[in-house]
Order: sequence, then structure tokens, then C-alpha cells
Amino acid sequence: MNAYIRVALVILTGVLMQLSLFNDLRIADVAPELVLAIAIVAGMTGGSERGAVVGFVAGLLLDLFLATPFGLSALTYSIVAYLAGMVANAVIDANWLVSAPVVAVGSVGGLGLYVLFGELLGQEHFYTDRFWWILLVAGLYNGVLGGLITRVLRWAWQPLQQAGVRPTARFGMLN
Amino acid sequence: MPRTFEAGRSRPRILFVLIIASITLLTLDFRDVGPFGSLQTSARNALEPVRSGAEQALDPVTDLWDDVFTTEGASDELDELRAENAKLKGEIITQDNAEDLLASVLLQLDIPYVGNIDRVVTQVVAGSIGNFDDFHIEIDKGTVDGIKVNMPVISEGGLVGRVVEANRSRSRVLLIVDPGFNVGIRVVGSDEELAVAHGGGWGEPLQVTEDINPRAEIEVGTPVLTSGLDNSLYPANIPLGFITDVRLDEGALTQILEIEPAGELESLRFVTVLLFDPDGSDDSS
Repeated sequence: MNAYIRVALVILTGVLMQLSLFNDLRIADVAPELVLAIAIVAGMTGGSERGAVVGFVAGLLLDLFLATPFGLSALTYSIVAYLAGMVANAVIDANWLVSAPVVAVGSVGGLGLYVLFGELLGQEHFYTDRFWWILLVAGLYNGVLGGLITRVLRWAWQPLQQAGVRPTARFGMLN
Repeated sequence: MPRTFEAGRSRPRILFVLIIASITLLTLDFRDVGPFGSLQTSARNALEPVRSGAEQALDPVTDLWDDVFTTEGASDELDELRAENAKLKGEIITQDNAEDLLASVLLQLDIPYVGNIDRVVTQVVAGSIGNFDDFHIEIDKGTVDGIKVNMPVISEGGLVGRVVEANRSRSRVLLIVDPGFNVGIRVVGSDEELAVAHGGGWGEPLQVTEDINPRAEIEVGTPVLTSGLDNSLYPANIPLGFITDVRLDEGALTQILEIEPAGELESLRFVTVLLFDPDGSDDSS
């Protein structure tokens, strides 16, 4: 199966899982941000550019179902995925287990950026008393999911790797 | 730190293009460009069956999660008590205004204070999505059932929100606790004060911060109803809540009111959409 079809499947499944499953699997009333985690891992495993595109598409798909401004998730996720790709490429060892803390930290940064953009766009209810709590719990939650998502995205990018596309990021792999 | 793979040079141009695309989409969304909104609705409608199927398939998992991480029995009991409380509060309000309203009944299908406005009873199928979308719920009826944007949504206790997005088989409802939610109100009493109340967030009362005569005699506990004035999105006499605090503002130019919502909002399972058209072109009474 073509790598891009695989990635599209991962994105669609991720969005559906977020809406249908993980939105209800809350810990301390905080849901994981699965789609953000997918964007981050896509950047780590596929490189900055692919990550940014994955983040944009996944964010856009998620935005369809959110009451927040359309394009806000796409904007945030593409930036975060791009940065995740750069960080992974620059400093991270080739150990997929390391992905958990990286995804956790990336998620905290991504959510912070999301709230910042939201506030700038007039979403005054984004920053509440629970803001730091949400960042902490969602970050940890995403970190726990990070290892699994890394494996899934490595599977998704595999055809490109087998086709001899030059690898870059140590997580994975391609550029 | 040595690199295990050669790093490819990342091209910020792609990111730049994506950022521009995102900003363009945000602009179109904020400007509410017609065809763009239709495209979004079409995309949602196309994905809706897949989403519903996924929800049904994953129901056992979420149920299991609830069983493990919540005390379901206690939760159910609490829900019932809350619903009963909301119903009673709603009845008190409607009875206070009994001269103007029909006799109250208990079942949601026969809510008295909405007169003969057609209505659709719906099930709440989702709460807020994600962590930053606190003031919305999703209901399992949409445009095929006659639901349109801006229609009022009530529960047994009173007004709970309005439809802000109507898709084919689902709709999204903005709850009255949203700080951006505004509703014209009438304070039941001799002075019949009219004003606009706005949401205060979860756990906070609705607030009226202007247009109340500073000399009007308003007591704590007074019921508040929708005013139903011209161009209002809501028909008159839907219970909104009780006044819990009355005070003068700093300049003594108006009174500030706090209103405790009568409708239970935290554990909604079924709500009723009033097929009310403020222009009076179809189902309004």
C-alpha cells in the first residue's frame, strides 16, 4: 500500500478515534489530544515537511468537528509537527522509546500554542483555571500514547523507506 | 551529538504555505463566507455515517472505561436527582407566571411554557470535544428533522441553549453558560424589567449588567423568563432561572443581577429543540 494512503488512513482513524473514543476516555476530565500526537510523531518520523503537511491535514479534518475557528488546529498542528521534525532531526537518539517524552513535551507546547492562537482570535474561554492542569494531563496522556503512534507511523512511512527515500530523522527515518 | 542519518534540509517554504492556507481558512470562517460554510457542512455530513459507526463500534470500550473509572450507580442517581431538581425549579418559575402560561406538565414532550410551538426531542450524543470546547453539546437530530441554526433548546428546567450548527443528522448546541451567550430576559414582577443576560461560565450564574432600573424593586429568588421581544431568537416565557444576587453597579446607574439557570446543564441526556422561527415564517406560535 502506498505510504501516503497509509498516512491518510492513520489520520482518518486518528480523528475518528479522537471523536468517538478518546474524547470519552478522560482522566481527571482531560482528554488526550490524539491528533496532535499524530502530527508530532509524523514530524519526528517523516521529517519536518511531511510532518507539517500531516499536521495541517489532520488538524483541518479535526476542525470540521470542533466549535472552535476552522483552521485553528490546522495552523497549530502544522507548526508543531514541523518543529517536532526539526528537534527530532537535531537532537534525538534513534530510540523509539524516547518518543514518549518527546511527544509529551511537544503536546504541552502544541496545546500552549493552540490556546495562544485561540486567545488571539478571540476565544477568551480557552485560558481558564484549568489551563495548566490540561497541559500537564494531556501531555502525559499523549506521551503514553506516543510509543504506539510512533510504531503506527513507522509502518505508514515504510513504503517510502523501502523505495530508498533518503532518511533523515533518527526516529525514522525519511526525508 | 553525532547524527545517525544525514539530516535533510527542511524547507520552511512549505510551512509558510500551510500557515498562509490556515490563516485564509480562518479568515473565511470568521467572515462566514456562504459557500465555505456549505463546504464544511457537506464534509461533515459525508463523514457523519463513518463517525456514527465508529461511535457505535467503540461504545463498549467507553462503557468499560466508565465502569472502571466512574461510580456509575452513584452517577446515575445523581443524574436523576439533578433532573428532578431542574424540573421542580422549572415548574416553580412557570407557576409564578401562571396567569400567562399554560398549566405545567412533567413530561418533556408536553412542556407547557412553549405553547404550541413544534418541537423535536433529541438525545445528547456528545459533550464538548477536546479540552477547550467547554460550552457545546451535540444532539442526534439535524436538518432532516427540521432543526435550523439559532433555534432555542430547552430541557425540563428551562432554556439550556441554542443551535449553532445544524448538520443533516446531528446538530451542535451552544449552552447558556457560554460567556458569549446572550438572551433577552424579563424579570417576573411588578416592574417587568427587560434586559439582556449573558453566560458566566461553568459554575457561575448568568449576569445582567445593564438596562435594569436602579430603583426597581427586585428580590432574590425572583424568576426570570425569556422576553421574546421583536427579533429575539427565543420565544417569550421560557424559564431561564432565578435571581440569586441583586446589587447596584458602582455608578448606581443600573442594577447587576445574577441568575442561577433553572435547567440542569451538567448532565443533559435529552433536550428539546423548539422549531421556532423568530421571523414567524413557519412554526412559531
